Amino acid sequence: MQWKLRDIVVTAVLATACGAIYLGWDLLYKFVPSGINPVVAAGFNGLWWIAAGIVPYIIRRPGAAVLAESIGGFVEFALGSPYGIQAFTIGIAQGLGVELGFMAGRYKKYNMGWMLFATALGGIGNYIYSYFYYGVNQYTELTQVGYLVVTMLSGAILSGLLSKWVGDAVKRTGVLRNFAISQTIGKAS
Amino acid sequence: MSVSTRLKPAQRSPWVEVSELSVTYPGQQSPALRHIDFSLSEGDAVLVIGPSGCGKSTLAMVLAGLIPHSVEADIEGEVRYAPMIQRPGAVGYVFQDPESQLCQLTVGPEIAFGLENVRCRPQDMNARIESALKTAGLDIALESPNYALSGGMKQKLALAADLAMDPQMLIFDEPTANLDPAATTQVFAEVGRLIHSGRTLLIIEHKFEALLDVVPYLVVMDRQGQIRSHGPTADIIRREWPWLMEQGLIPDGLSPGFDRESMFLPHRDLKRQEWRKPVLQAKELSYTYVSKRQRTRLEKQGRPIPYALHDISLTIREGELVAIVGPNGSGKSTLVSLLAGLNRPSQGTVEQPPPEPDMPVPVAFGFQNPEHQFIFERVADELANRFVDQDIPDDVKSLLKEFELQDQAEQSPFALSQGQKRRLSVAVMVRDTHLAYLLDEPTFGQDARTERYIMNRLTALKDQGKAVALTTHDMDLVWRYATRVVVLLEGQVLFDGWPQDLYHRPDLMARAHLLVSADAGEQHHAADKTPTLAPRFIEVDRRQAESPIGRLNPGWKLITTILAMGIAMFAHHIGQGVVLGLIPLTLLWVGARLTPWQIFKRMAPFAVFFVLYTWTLTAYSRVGPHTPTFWFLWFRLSWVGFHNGLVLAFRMLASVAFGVLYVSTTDVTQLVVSLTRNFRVPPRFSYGTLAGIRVFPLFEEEWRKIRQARSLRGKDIRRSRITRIITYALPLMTQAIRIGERVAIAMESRGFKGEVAQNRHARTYYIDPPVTPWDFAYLAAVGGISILILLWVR
Repeated sequence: MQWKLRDIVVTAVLATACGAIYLGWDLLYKFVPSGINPVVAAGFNGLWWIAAGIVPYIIRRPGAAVLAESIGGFVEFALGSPYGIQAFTIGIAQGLGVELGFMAGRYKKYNMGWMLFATALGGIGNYIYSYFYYGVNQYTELTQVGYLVVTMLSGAILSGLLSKWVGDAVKRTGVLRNFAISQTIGKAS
Repeated sequence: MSVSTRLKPAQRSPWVEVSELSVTYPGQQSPALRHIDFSLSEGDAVLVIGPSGCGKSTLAMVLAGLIPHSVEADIEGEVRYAPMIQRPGAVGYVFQDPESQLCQLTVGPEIAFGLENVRCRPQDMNARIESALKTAGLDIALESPNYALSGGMKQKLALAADLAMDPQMLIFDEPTANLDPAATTQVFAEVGRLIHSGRTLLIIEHKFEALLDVVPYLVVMDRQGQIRSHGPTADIIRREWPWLMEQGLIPDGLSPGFDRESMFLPHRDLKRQEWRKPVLQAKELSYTYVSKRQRTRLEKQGRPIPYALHDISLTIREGELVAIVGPNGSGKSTLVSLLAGLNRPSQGTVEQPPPEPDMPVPVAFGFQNPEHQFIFERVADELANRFVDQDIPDDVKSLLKEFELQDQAEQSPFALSQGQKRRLSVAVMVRDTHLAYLLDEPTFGQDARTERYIMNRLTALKDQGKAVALTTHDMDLVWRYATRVVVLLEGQVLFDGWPQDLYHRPDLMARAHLLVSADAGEQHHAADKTPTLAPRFIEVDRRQAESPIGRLNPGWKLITTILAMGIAMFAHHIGQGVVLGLIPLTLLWVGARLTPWQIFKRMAPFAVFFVLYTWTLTAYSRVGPHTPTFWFLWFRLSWVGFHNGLVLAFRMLASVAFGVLYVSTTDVTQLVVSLTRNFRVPPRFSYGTLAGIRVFPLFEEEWRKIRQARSLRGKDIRRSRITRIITYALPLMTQAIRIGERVAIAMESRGFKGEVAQNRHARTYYIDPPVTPWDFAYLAAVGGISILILLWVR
């Protein structure tokens, strides 16, 4: 499962595009009424690690989730994210969470269930980071549990489901012929 | 058929030789190349022509050693390379698409990239870069950003990057397919010069006419992937003329000797137009990309406003086929998009026919890239303009048949071949009745057969009395099909009349860069000035780059930034937060030499967020039983929460300010090199990532086009919002992946493979940000002061 140069370049291209989407999401999030309950607001979180879903789904290499999410986070930061350098560091945390999910599948499982599972784990990365840095530790216990559960669900849907859906659509166009997504597991070497 | 004899009487042992070569791509039934015998020796200059899909590029990639190493394919037969051809950089390869063969952000590092891969000593690089730029006929500064170059200049830069590596042999794979006549002339002129200087070279060209006098040897390939004939250029052209015409490699009506007089439409067809009914009328039309606010400012300062189009009056009548031509940037695309109502004119008016109940969209528009037009995932749905599932309506069926797409009905529009995509996009346009049809470069990147097919369709529409207008770079298309030609130059009409009349005005055509030749002459030299553009995206101002913090090592600076942010996490008092926030603000001023006003402008957009954090914690903090709280509407507010919120807000301020400090002072290229040099990241990860990030600015343009295309078709379609994500994501992603793949191949063709890409010591570095004691001093100072503040400030 060696990374080819084209895997890396395409990872960077897609992750960069995701970084721009993150920035848009940051700004959109700005317009969520500030009075909204943090548990409800957590429903937004999942999209912030879609790079960690879509890239591993296409490239299927160890480290794809972390690499993609780091690049995406860095681009979000460089483009002027209101979260500053934290856009990058939380990206790594989210990517690590998803990476654990794919690692648990030995980088061979990319079916619907596994995509949902792995991207939900990104929510744990997000929770741990936010616990220490975004004041989640200040919330009441109930709010915290709600925050974690909704964040994971949000990850599974906005990152996992969406990635699989978009990835399959792109695969049908035939441009992914030379990528792991188009090869059977046995052949991908 | 196979060619059994060697191309030329063998004088020397060939540099590359293939015998009985067949190549099959994975997943394909039939081979792309069959039983090829071919060789290339020192000093050869060969032109390869043939219909699209004949395997020209495949042959070139085998000769360059890219197949099967960088591009997977099964090879049968024998391929032999002379040892000197196998060293990295021995074969220079200029690809078709100017956008997807560059991998750096600026000109200097772009050319240096290949030199690094062949382990050129850094102190020798600048001399080789300068001389390569000179040989390639490109006179621009090394700091020029790649994105600001025109297509022709990008191709020359790609050539310069190859030349710098001192290749034994050069391969040009349709280098002008995406260029306008002026840029084509520039590239051909360089090719001619290289041949004169005795370079070994192979060039594949689609529009080869201007090269016939320059390249001595010609190879003709056929649709089956075989060599049909080869020999001295003039002989082969004479012998193969009828076949070339039949295959569409030479435009219809062209006589041997390339006389175009017989191509024109007869005069009687043209004469009766003046009395026809106008369909589209532009009156005193002007357009500028400058915003209204800037315009008033420019007017106040008495400076001229840069107009894309200025004061154009134009009437397009029923039964006309108007070709709009002119050099890149002359305003052609702007004009058709204004006529179609995609953009609003800055001044003047466009009169369109009013919509009627049986004709809701009177003016149809076709984008240059057909993919922009597709909004469904199935060809049949696309043509029906709704989800039709299994029962494809009869009218759609007949359209499918008419456009030879009946076998593709179930496929994704994006999975079609270039020609099929174009046919589908035209089919979508003609499905409903319109009065006028506007098309932006409808034959761009199409082979002769598709081109003929589309032009015949448009001619038929014209004959039915519709108004047709299109932009093009292809003058043969103008001569053959247009009833009228409009020449734009710098946003103004230079000529408007019959094609014949333009044909007899070579002076006008030269002025509008409409002539292609392999002799650049004097007219194009002005085009190669260093472009000046405002910096955007990942570029750093010189003042900041040369500030004390700008000169620090980017990798270590990133670590310091993250460390500072991590320490700020432990701030629990407002005082600590305030002081920690002051550190990066001070550094922005003193260390990065930003003015206080610049700092304010960069930080202000984030203020809303600091307020938001404070509020969230005020309203949602965990509170003990004895904490005083207030009810406000339905929120339970607490002072504790407010305090915590403020602390968080100041922590965020510190984090954001450190981020602004980093971005304002750090060059991305340097960061990437630093990751490899100082942090052991394998080169293919760091440079591969940089190449991918480079593609980003292209997205903006793509996104804008897709939005326009949607706005054209949006009204008559009802579909869920979720489907819309796919219709936006698909064209962007397919394009991104294609470009990414091509960039990777181009990088490998410049020697970035194997050990060089794997091992950071196997290559040299043009830019090499050093690690100095200052980096550690900075880290210690920022970290130390932050910790001291946490300990002392209460």
